[in-house]
Order: sequence, then C-alpha cells, then structure tokens
Amino acid sequence: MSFFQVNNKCNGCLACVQNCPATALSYRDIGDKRKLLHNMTRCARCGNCWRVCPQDAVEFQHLLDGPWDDVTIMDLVRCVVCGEPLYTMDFSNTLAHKLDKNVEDLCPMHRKTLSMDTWKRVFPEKTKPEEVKK
Amino acid sequence: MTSKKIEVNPVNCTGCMECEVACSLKQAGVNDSELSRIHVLNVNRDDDFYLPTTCQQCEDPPCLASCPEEAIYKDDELDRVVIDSERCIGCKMCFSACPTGAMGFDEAGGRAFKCDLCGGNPECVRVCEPKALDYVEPYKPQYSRMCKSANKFFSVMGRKAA
Repeated sequence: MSFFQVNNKCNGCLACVQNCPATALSYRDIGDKRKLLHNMTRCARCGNCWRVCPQDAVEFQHLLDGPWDDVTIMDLVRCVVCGEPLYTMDFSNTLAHKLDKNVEDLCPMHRKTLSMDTWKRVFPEKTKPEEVKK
Repeated sequence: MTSKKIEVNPVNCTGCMECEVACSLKQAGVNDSELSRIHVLNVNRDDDFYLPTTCQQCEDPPCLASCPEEAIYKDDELDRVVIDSERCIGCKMCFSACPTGAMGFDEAGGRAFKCDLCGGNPECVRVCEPKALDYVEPYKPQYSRMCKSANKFFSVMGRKAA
C-alpha cells in the first residue's frame, strides 16, 4: 500500500504532479487509463500536493503517521539469570569473533556479582545473615 | 607515568554509596547511580557485605579489542583505559564484552562510559570515609606468576565452557 493516497474526489488533473518540488509524483497514460504514481524515496513530505489539490483529494495524513515496517527479525539473547534482553545472536557472534572467545550471556549486574561467591568464601564471617551472627 | 589502581577492600565498605554519588556528580554532573562509574553491590540484602565494583583497567582490555571504531585506547600515562566519546558510536560492543560488567552505557546520550580514574585523582577514593577504596601502586612482584596461573585456569575452564 502506498503512503501517498488520494480519495475518490481525485479527478486526475495532475496539479500535484506539476507542483511537486521533489518530482516524487508522476503519471502514465496507458490505453484508456490514467495512472497516478508516487515515489516515496523522492518524496520530501512537504505537503505541497495536499495544498495545491483543487479537489481536496490528497490524504496527506498517511504520509505523517504511517505504519512501522519490520526491517529484520533476529534471535535475542537474554541474561541467563534474570532474563534481561542483552543482544542478538549475531551480535554475540561478532563479539566472539573479535574477542576470540565466547562471552557469557549475563547482564552487567550479574557479571559484577560473579565474583561475589569468591569474596564470600574469603570473608565468611562478614557475609553471614544478621540473625546467625548474633 | 604511574600505574596506580583503585584498590577495593570490601570488608571496610559500609554501603553508604558516597562513592556512587560523588562519581556521578563529578563525571555526569547529576546524582544518578545509573551514570556512576562505580557500583556498590549488596546481593543478598540480608548481610552487610558490600562490594564496590569498578573498571579494573585491564592489561589486555576486551572492550578495546571489541570496539569497531577504535574509540577505546590505553593511556600509558596513568595506565588506564579511556573511551574517546567523539569516536564512540554507541554500538554497545564494549558494554557486552566487559567481563566484569564495569562498562556503563548512557541510554539518553547513546554513548558508552567508563571509569577514567578522574585523571589521577579518583573522586570515589577521595570521599570514601571508611577507606574501603584506595588509590595505590599495585603489588607487582608476583604479577607474572599470577598472570600465568590465571591463563592456565582460563584455558581449562574455557574449554569446559565451550
């Protein structure tokens, strides 16, 4: 579906085509049909077509709040402890290639706590719960 | 030229979070623990063991190796690892590469940030009342042996993990 849309009031006068500063509008007369064409990559969304249209036929709103297109979908890697989204599988592969080793799928928070167990073994008396200490 | 490092002694830490406040105020201009370069961990909440964690200024930094824009470099003057935020593109490679989770990422600014030792006068060390943090010359004589043993350990554990 085109982002540029006209309603049934359009009478094919081609004023929009004549006045488009970005030459994003064009037309073809083929057989007994006139076809209005729009090129989104050229369109600057200036709204000139909408302003000049004598029939109020240009539905400019479609150019302002169009839908989001899916560009690509990839596998997501989450922190193995808390499930926080980290990066994609492809990102992880790029990283592993650069570092020459696999990275652990942990969020920064749980990477920091990795050393906690060791510290607790070094200072067991400091890390006992309050009740046990008393 | 100095090789001073931030030394952490968690036994002295009371969990007052003064270092986090001072760090974010000095480095980011706001009091926001998310923007602090140092974080105090207290995992269980039921004990009083607090562990301040910050960048280790690695000898062979994974963040530096992972950066696609060469925005991270080693500053030999202070023996620290620095991000050139002009070059940083915010791809989070370093953020995900850091084995200790010390790399920070500013979601609003879209750039990575890390401890830069405040240019040789770390604010966290300056404000730490119970002396859990210190900025000292590390004990070097056995570094090569420790390094060798750590590499040996890693080669065994690395194979196990793979």
